[in-house]
Amino acid sequence: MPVLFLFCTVSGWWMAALAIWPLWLGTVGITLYLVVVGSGAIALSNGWVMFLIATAIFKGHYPAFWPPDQPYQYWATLLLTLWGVGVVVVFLLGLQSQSLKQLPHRKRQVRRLNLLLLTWAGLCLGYLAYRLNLLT
Amino acid sequence: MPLQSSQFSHVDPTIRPYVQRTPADYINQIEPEIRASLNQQQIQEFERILYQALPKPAPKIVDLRFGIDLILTRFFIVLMVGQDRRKRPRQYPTTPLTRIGNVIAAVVLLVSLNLTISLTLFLSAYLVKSALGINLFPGHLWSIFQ
Repeated sequence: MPVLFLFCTVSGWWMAALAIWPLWLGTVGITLYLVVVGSGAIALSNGWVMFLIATAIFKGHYPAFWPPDQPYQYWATLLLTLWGVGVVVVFLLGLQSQSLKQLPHRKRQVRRLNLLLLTWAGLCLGYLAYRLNLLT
Repeated sequence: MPLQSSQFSHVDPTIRPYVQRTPADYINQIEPEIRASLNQQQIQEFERILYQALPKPAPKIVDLRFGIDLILTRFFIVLMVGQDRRKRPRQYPTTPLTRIGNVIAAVVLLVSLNLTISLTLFLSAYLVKSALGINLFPGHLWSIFQ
């Protein structure tokens, strides 16, 4: 859980830094899909992560705070790392949600809601940290 | 006469999975009094016939199975690679319409899978190349698309 929260915060921060605004809604939807469905959502959600990275590459999203003479390697390393983080988040969320299916209905719904709130809180915290110029 | 669930009450619930079963697993499911009435020769003959009927799956080099849940419906995808030991082609009782539908679905799936894998390989190779500081062409990839 702490790893998931941390990775969601990192993802939220970098998504805000790379200004991938239209894809935020899709990301929120994908997290909801993962929490509701479980491991059956992992394959399609990985497709979404790849779509995010492809968008960042093909549209040339670059962090606004990086100097123009920043070596190009850093950008590529950053996107590779974010891709890895995204895949880890998808697997953690999917498998965590899948493990909840063993629980009774009422308890499962509460745990699912907690998991969803934790994920969204991580993403929002990352977004706010960037907007409030923290860590830049 | 339709079979009632109570007729299977003697079936052991801890019985092994279908592909791991042996003839003895089936012989042991016969009602004890009927089983006792069979002589050794009859049991051996039953075992011989059951052995022929049991599935003998070929060992798989690749055995990848996963599900895709679309909330309203679920699909499973299976990819298997192994030595083909089948002597005769398997017969599928399908209608022409089903066969056309299967071909279209298979083509769409294969093309989608191909595009996904190709894009994944291309993007990862491009990022690794860039991260290593190798420049094959002047400019950036996104400048081509803009």
